[in-house]
Amino acid sequence: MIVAEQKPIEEVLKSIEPFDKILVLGCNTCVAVCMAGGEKEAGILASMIRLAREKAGKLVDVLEKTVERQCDDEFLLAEKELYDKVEAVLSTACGVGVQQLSALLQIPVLPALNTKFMGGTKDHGTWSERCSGCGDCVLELTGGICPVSRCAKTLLNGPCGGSADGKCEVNPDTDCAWQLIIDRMTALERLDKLLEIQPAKNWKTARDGGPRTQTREDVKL
Amino acid sequence: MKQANPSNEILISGGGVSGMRAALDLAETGYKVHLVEGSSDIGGLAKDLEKSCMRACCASASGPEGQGEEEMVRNDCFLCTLDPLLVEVKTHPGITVYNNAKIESIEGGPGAFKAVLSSGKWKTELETGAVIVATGLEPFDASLKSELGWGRYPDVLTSVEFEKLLIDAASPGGKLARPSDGKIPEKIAFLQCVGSRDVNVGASYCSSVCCQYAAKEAMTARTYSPETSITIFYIDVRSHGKDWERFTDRAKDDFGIVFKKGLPSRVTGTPGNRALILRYEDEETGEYREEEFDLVVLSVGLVPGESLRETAKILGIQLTDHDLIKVNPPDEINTDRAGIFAAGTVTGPCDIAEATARGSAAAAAVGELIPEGRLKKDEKKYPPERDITGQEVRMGIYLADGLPTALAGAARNIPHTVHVEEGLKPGEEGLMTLRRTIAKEKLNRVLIAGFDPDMYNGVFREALRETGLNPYLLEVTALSETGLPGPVPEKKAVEMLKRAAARTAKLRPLYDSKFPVNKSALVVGAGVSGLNAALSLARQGFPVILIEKESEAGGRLRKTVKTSSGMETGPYLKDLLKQVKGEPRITLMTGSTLKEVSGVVGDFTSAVMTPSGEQEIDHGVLVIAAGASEYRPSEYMFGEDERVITQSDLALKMAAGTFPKDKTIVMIQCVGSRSDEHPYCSRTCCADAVRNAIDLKAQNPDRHVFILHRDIRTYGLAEDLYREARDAGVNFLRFDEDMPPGVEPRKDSLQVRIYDTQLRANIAITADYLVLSCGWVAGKSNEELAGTLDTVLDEDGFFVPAQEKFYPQDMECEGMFMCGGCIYPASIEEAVTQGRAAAGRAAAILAKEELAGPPMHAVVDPDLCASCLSCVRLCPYEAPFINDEGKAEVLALVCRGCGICVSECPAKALSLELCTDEQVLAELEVVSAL
Repeated sequence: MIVAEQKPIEEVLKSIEPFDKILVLGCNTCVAVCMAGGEKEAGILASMIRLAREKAGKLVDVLEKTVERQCDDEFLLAEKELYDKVEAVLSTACGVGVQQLSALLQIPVLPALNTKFMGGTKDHGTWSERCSGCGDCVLELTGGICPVSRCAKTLLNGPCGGSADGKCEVNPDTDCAWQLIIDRMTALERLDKLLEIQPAKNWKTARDGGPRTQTREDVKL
Repeated sequence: MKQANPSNEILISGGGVSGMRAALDLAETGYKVHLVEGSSDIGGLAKDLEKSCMRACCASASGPEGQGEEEMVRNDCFLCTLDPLLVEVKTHPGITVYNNAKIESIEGGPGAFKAVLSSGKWKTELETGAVIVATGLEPFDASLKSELGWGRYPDVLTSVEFEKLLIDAASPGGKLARPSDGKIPEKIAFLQCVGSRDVNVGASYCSSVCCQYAAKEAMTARTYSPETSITIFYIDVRSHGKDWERFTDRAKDDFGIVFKKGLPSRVTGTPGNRALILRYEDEETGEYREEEFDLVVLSVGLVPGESLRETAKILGIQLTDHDLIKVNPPDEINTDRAGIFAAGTVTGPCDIAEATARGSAAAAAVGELIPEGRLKKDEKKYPPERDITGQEVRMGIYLADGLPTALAGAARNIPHTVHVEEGLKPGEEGLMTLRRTIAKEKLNRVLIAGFDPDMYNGVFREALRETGLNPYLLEVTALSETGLPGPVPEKKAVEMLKRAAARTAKLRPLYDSKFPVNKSALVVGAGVSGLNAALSLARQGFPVILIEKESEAGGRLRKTVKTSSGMETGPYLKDLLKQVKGEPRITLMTGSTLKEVSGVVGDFTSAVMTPSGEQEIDHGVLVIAAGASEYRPSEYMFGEDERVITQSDLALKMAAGTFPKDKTIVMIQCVGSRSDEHPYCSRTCCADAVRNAIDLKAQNPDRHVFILHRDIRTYGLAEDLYREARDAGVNFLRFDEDMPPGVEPRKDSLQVRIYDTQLRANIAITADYLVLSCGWVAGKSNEELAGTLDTVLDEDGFFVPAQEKFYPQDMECEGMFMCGGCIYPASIEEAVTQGRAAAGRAAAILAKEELAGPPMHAVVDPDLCASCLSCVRLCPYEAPFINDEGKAEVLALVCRGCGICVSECPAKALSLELCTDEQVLAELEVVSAL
């Protein structure tokens, strides 16, 4: 899922300062699951805004709504009449949702979250980054552990000299991805696979090739 | 002879802990129970105990002002849960309680007794299939020990009176005050064994519970008055129950309570001074001492009262020399008159958990006697339910008798109110008014104010159902902040009424979920408790699969010769196995272990590994009777010298006739018990050692037998054995935990050295045999079973009951029960009772055709569910799961309605139907409008 976290409330309040009528729009997909912007979090944020503005003596009318997914126009357009009632929308979706909605509206769409990474749940309340979307997956070679997202240097041919006691020199709380890869490949009895030298990675498929678009002609309408 | 058409009505005499448990289990199983209580209210001795400790049991609670949590008593006494139990008994439709009443006469036989009940005002006759006597024991009359000054000095109290002092101390603004002048006592002394272990007055047996309650009272007193110092004078500290040893250690170590061995012989006052002088021998120095105290508490024992003798006479049952009801060991329930059973302390003193177990076991005994009785339950017919969809809210408000009249005026102004009824009384008269007005005014919401909801929800819902209204369109409010009816300022009462009305208007019709019950049981472990559980269930009419991991059934019975009370276990086991074999409803599978359990109460599926492969078994309940293991010592050269043996080895050798008659024997107690590794008392070893010592002396009165001990814990009736052993010339020497005895092997003897704390001297004994009293340790299978059942064990590796006092046989997971040594070491008699008790508890489920889950559980709106797994991860009971549609779903029978998932769901897909956001918000709106 896409993992995000709520922006500091001060920042949110600043961004909505000019407006007296806003809509807090939740997203019931990834950000609901990572407890950053589902119906509950959107509701709490809306209440916090009302309280803060009341305290500041500048009342604000806050509407609340949560849609299934903010990355699809159909879900967003179903709430059309709500957008007409407000001066701005505060979206608790990831950056994708904010942009998707912004493209549909003539009023400002403001982000309530900082979108962090693509990751999985480690335990309830903790999420870890697992994928950078490089466009050319190497997990088959590395025992299912991604050196692109999990090695600070995105190394492809073994650890650097900064790996010590299984930890990364960048952050002692971070496991060295290559230590994990070697342990895993040893357990799988596939360590010999790592002897194969990986050439320099083709980053054209990643962000370096500019914004990406994907089309599947066979499913296009 | 049993009658052809036995009555399904059961008479229980005595509404204490045991009688209440029996009543509830029987009523749940489908019998009609008549509970006769001699006093003005049920609850027995337990209801008068100080329960403010509930604040301390609760981890989040804070102590009296200025105290850290570490100073609080955390005794998990669960006494705070007595009140819900009382309510359950009083409101159960299958139980009729007669207060201030007694059985006047009884005729007939099992299945068809005719009893006459009476009180001062009335007399009634009823037919009953069986009778349970649970009238209990009474606190010893302290005035019989006049030398202790009770009745003469106001500051000499019995422990029962001291409970009241503690209740006062716990009340808001209260303090621990001594009766004479209201001052906080600086020094309190507890005197143990008052009326217990005394051949002259009171009882010669040990009352079993006083050491523990004294420690509890002392710790509670210290909590309310930290500056008070407390000394407990005792003969032996008997903390033989589950977790009691640790509790006593905490009393000593964390609460600074001083335990002094030796009982003061006299309490005297001083003229012109309130101090009380205690005279005693100081064990450490051997000197005679006088010490002043401000308050003396006499730990009075439990003795049979006149009423027990009377009851026995009326019922025509025999009493023992102790004036207790006679039973036939190892059975603790069946009296010598068929169809009349005993429960609780009437057969011998015991603690609350044991009394509860005996109550459940007595219920099982009734079920075994008249299993056909419970089938007579007739289904009640209700009118079809009124459809209220689309109807405007028509609310009726009913105010309890005694509420301020101003409330009625306020009630009439509440929106949607079409009827206001004042002066509603509990009981049939009030219910008739309720039913009549609901029908007349076509009400579709009902608010009843001034009643305890826990107590009255059931009866009032039933009344709604009888008028054809959905029972969940009812709100009962106590109209007070405590949740219990009580005085409340008028303005506040009006506000609360408005709030409740706002909530009531938002109520919707709800329905119980019904689940069919698989009427069979799986019992794990065919030892003494498992065999008895299986037999009882089968006799109550339920098929049982009994699995045993060993190749033979019998458990520890196969390794013992006799119980401490002298019953030979070999013939008993043989008979037990014969009964099991002759019982067509029992399938015994040896060499089999439990591998997996899934499902919920009434509908479990288990995988059992048998010698012929894995087998799947469907069952409605599960009983765990996995037993315990005997500790194999590494101490005292055990295994190195063949003259060092265990008590069970000794018993076997004596039974085989191979043990020499002229040898000197030294026994050492607490081997592998009350140690750092096993910091609990193994409960059975003292009585077993004393039994063996008596037998050794009987073989040859001239031989020497020494028992080296830390405290002799022949609790309850086993105290008689201890006396018998001393009379027979067995020598008891006491050693300190820090100075255990030493053993030195010689060529033709063993030199045992001990520092005797009573003689204050080193003693060397030349012995031929050293017998070690080895304790019990948790069975290895416990850990595996706990994994399979997904439950936790206590720090000693034993199973933990859902609630130790009032549900000792229940596991946390509903429909799972346990008995015997897997919970805590138990004597054979106790294991038999626990097995039957587990069967009694289990039968209450198996007897039902279907289980109803009230709509107290959380429900998921699948359209909103993001399948985020929060509920699945957070639920302490594992009620939510992701279903085939990929959405969360809550198992209604498993859910306890705690609301954790509801508050945590990020998509707000979950709700509690009886407490929706809409209802809470409606209440809040009223509050904010005020």
